[in-house]
Amino acid sequence: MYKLSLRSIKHVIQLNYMSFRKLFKVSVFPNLLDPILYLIAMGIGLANFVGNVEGMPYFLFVTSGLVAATSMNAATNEATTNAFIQMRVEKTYYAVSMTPVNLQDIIIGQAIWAGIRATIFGTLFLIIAGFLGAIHSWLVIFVPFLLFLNGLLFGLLGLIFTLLVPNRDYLNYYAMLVIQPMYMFSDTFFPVANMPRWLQPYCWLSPLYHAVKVCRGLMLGNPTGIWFHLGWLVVVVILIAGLPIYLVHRRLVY
Amino acid sequence: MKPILEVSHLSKKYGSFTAVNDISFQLQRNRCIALLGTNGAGKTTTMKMIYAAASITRGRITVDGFDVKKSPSNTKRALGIVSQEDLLDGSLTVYENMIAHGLCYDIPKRELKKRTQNLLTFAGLANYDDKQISDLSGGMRRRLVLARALLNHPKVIILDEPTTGLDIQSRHVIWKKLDQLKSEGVSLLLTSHYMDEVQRLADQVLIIHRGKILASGAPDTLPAKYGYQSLEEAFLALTDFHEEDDHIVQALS
Ligand SMILES: Nc1ncnc2c1ncn2[C@@H]1O[C@H](COP(=O)(O)OP(=O)(O)O)[C@@H](O)[C@H]1O
Ligand SMILES: [Mg+2]
Repeated sequence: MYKLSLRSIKHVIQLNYMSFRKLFKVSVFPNLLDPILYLIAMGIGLANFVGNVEGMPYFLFVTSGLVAATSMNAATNEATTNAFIQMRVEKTYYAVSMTPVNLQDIIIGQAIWAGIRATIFGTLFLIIAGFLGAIHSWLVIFVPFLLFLNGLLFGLLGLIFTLLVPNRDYLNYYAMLVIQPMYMFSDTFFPVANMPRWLQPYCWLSPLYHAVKVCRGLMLGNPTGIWFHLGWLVVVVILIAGLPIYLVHRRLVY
Repeated sequence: MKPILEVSHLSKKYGSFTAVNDISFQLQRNRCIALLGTNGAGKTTTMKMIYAAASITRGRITVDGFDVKKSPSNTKRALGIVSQEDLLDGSLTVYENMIAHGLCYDIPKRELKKRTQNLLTFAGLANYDDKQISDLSGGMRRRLVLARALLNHPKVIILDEPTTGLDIQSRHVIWKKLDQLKSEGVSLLLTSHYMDEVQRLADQVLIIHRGKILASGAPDTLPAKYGYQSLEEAFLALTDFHEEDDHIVQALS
């Protein structure tokens, strides 16, 4: 069907990097401010009232959740707002697709780029959290791989949505109705087990829930069960990867 | 000799509306074909199908021996495109826009930088390489888009209203460059609203109306062939005639 070219995908990543490098200084602050505020409010402020959660200090529980959530948010910003501008406002997708690079390479390149961005910001936050004492195992060196996988997944998901929406306002709905609930209810701030019974199956559907489980296992050196969650993420990536390729041709080629 | 661009029985439908209706033509090496038509005639749509930005409803296009539907990367490698909209990346500078574009053709970094310098000089933008796109005038953007389209040393250049909105000086700069490219063996496919531009550049003119080719020929001989004094007269008469024709059909039905 739509053949992918590794070379072309590499070019797309390079192009994204060119723009990113210039805007890094302005984008690093907002991307890290959000998890830092939550870290202070919950991990430090609220922690005094909570004590241990699932056998670990609440500070560690929240911080490991925030590392994974930071990658989700970084990838989502890239795949929604940034991608929308490139598709519909500046139309750089069309400029690039005039070269030997085809639309399917552009969209997959951007999903991978979302994964890279997620890795960069997630790791930066991880380092900050490390200085505050949130790292308890050498297994933490594997966290960036998890951040990439999670970023790739949310990159694909965000791009699917961005390709479907008729205008920019709908991106807010995605942020409010899809991303924000996942942020809150994915074992990030409190255990899913403490939620109402009927809500728990939905949490299981949240990719962030599985990413948090892996991230926490690696940061605290308790990796039992992370293979299942990793497998869940990989399977979802494989299942949805074809959809943006199909949609980009349906929505941008008339 | 085999044509570098071959369009045969090309049609495009948007739903039930036919924007391009059974168009065929062949472009040879170092020749220039101009598509002349009123707004909405189907010129841009035809060009978009050639550079794979619009899907082909019916018919076949080959560029440089490759089929556009089957191997778009290969056909696009042979093309330089000046689209009707500028499509420049506002997050990058003038220089970076060139580099970003050239990367996609696998042009080695060193060579790419050299070509970029030369083309920016040609486009009169050598002193603007650090400028943001938003700092450029409309004419400068147009010249930048042309410079960008030449980065990959294309065999065919597609120019969709390349000089619309430009001052007369800029138009002459562009015409001279296109003449030079043609003499080097490059082929041009052009749309324009300017008769002088068509007369100056084209070896063959296709008058397109409502997606169909109504007349074709060299700019000097076409008018006489259809019984008119000038290209402009032929163009107006041919396109108007069909408007009236339709009114009559509508009135009768
Ligand atoms: N994406 C589209 N969807 C529906 N109709 C379109 C689309 N693009 C162009 N058209 C229609 O096709 C016709 C030809 O358009 P176009 O090729 O842009 O004309 P030209 O370039 O000759 O001015 C016009 O009637 C235009 O409204
Ligand atoms: Mg047009």
